[in-house]
Amino acid sequence: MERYFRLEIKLEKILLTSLIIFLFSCSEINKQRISPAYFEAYEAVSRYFFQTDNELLTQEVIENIPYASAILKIGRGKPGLIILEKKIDNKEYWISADGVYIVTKNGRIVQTQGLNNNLKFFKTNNDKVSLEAINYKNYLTYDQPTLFDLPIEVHAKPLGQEKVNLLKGETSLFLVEEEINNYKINWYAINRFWLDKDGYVWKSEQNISPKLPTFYMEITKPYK
Amino acid sequence: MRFSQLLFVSLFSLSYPCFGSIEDYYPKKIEPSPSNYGETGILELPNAKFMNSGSMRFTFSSSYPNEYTSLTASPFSWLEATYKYTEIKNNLYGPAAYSGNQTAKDKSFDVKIRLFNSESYLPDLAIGLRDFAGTGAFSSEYLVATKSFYNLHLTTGLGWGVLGSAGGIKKPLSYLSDRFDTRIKSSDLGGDFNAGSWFAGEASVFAGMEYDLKRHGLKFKLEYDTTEPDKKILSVPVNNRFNIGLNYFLSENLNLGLSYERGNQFRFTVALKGEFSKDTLKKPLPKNVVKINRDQQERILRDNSIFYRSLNKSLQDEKIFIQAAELETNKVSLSVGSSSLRSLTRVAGRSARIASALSPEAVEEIEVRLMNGSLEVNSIAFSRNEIEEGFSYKSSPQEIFTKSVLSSKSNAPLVNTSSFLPTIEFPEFTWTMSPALKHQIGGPEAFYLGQLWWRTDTTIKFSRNISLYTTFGLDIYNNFNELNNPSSSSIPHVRSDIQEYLKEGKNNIQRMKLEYMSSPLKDVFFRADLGLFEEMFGGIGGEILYRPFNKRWSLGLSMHKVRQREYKQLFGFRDYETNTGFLEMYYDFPNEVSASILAGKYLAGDKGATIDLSRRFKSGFTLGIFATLTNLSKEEFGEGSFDKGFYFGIPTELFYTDYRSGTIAFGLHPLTKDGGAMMNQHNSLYSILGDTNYHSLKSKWKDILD
Repeated sequence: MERYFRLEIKLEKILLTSLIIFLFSCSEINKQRISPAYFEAYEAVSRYFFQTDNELLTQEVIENIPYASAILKIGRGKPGLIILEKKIDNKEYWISADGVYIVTKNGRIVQTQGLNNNLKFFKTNNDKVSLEAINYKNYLTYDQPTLFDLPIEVHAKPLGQEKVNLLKGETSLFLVEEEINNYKINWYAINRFWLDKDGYVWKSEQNISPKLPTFYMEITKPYK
Repeated sequence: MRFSQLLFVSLFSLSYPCFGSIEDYYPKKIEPSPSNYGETGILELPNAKFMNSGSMRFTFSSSYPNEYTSLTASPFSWLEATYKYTEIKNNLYGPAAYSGNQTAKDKSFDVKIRLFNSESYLPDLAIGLRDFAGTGAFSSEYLVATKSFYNLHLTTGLGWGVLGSAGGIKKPLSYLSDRFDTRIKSSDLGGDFNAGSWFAGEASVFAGMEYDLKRHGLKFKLEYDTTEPDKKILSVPVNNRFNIGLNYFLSENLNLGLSYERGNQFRFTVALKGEFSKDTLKKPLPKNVVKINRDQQERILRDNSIFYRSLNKSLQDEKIFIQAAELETNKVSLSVGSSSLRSLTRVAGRSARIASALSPEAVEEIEVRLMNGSLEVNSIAFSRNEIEEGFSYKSSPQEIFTKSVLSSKSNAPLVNTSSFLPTIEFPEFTWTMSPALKHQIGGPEAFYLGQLWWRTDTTIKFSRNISLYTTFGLDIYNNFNELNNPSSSSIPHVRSDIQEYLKEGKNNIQRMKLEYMSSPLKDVFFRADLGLFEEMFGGIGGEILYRPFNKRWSLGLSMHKVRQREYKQLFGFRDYETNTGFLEMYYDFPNEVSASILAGKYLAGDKGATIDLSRRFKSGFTLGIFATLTNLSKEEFGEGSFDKGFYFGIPTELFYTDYRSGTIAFGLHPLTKDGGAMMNQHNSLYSILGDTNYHSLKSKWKDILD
């Protein structure tokens, strides 16, 4: 028992010292001198466990950009701004600063480019996110690695209206939840869409590939 | 439908990938997993599967009485090497007065080599050795075959030594030679390869199977286990030779295992693997540099300083630092260095891209001279036309290579002759700080003793060629006071007094040395140093390296007169002093393999040679092993018989989305001994110049457009 407590005290000392180094280092000493790798590792780890917003993305910044825009966060990564490059046949082509393309149709991500694994084609029986409870199938085609027409069963159900905090302010939107799954590869996920009464998707959480984390998207300035 | 049409449609459907590669889309990717001992295998048994080359795996496998902690590396896809610690929980390390209650530990090396990689109906075949250079407590040799049928993997093999404990086949190789009749006991000192025992004595046939449940990320294991590793130390009953286990893959790199073995033991295993042969994180592309227009060109022709300033600024944006530049009528020469970009060809390509965009139209040749520290290591002269074609995707790296001239002008660096030199005010002072760790693993006092310390490195550059390097250490936390095992070595204590150094030198001057470097002749490099070289030695000395640019070999000579430092590691010295020096030969083989032989006199006065073999992947990941043989007898050297060890280096940029120059380096001598001890050289010439010759540039040439 005594040996356990001695070990406890030693561990506490090590943990405390490590914590002091990280906290003290981050706040006080010139980062460029204190082996920057430790700071970046600390930031990467803290971002993973304590998800943070991008403080640079404010409503004022958005208003000053003359293009339609959205905030995109992939998994536990930092949120970034994507800009609408063009709109063709009801499809919106968004681009990020590091050259990643996201294509949406009626608020749903239907194509990506520039990621490690990309959604190439999206076939569906249900074009729009519905405010009614329905079941249908989607067929997803990927590259890197190639996979054609992965069938996905979708069970969509509306969950009613709720207040949502968007960058532009608090808004009342309708929440639709989609349970998606493919039994063969044991992939199960939940998509969420927040729509207004006209069916416009303002915010969403979408799972587009078993090899990619969840995409979090919020429209900051819609296309007019 | 006719039969032929039906056949055609059927064949077409079978060949057309309706589901593509659905194997790649299972949520948990199931890979070959480690055995309890670390190498790829089943549970107690090995199999003929391997990790991909450039991989490393840490495995912790716990049961009673044996617990294994191992590090396995695969420098090639056909080779796995494992370093393993075994804790034998029902046995003590030594007498209580010596090691208290610490349980027995055993160190060993294992190796597995692929003989045959089948892509048809034949199985994969491998041969392996377990515990081949240790005390032999777990020594085994085996020949193993594995055949996979989709999710099912069947293994069978023949084992000797501990793997042959179940017996069954009497001396299967004795018809080849009498030497295979009996196994010879390993020396008590350990360290012997004991090759006379390999594949000798009785053998057993072992077998096992694994089944992948890909939907659930599980691997089921079942084996007929012919081992009885506890036999030699303290017999533990084997109630059942069938072992059963289940591995769960949290990801392709991390898996957990639970097994029931010998009818009386539960075992828990965790394995963490990393593959470092390639950089899988996207890095920033070269920055876009706008070509200058006609007006700007004319201004540059009137005033060259505009060109130099623009060049300096644009290169800095790429974290490339200009050391010198010369703008002539139809040629631009620039001397550059980078502390972030590891690949010299990437530095050259990005520098040429910027120089090309900013140069007047008349410039036809762009010469980039690459520097490492204060030495100009090589030069690449590009045809401007060709490289611009490459930047606009109209030419390839191979075509650019045919029009480029790679050379070395080390004895006439551009910094000595150019018209532009950035202003540097000497002396120039730089410093960095970071936390750091020291370890002592596997000693009699405790398995792990260590120190967390604060490291401060400073550099004062008095001129381009002369610098003062210091490293200070400030103790944060340590448990070195538990060290209580003074050296009983019969030869000068050049390393074995490490306990005294660790206890008394917790706050220390690790290094304080003045260094001079130059290249007096083409491809001849010289370094002289004076001061405190490392924790235990200081003195005066130097080295010369001849690195013929177009050859794969280099030759060096180093000589130092040194004195042993006081334990406190401040400015005092002990009485022992010696001369140490080596003739050094280096050779770059194909497939990124390098070898070196250093022959000479070591710190304790013994004479011999050190052989080092390493593989450095294009990502910068390095795996290496070394061994030293000297004129010391096994008794003089002590436990281990001769010095050996391994090291690896993982570039930190493999974990980040930008380029950076740091390396996570780890090196291990299984035992701290005085025989075969060399001084730790900071900034050795080969470490600066090793990958700067023609063949190294050529092997990384595709980075030229990246």
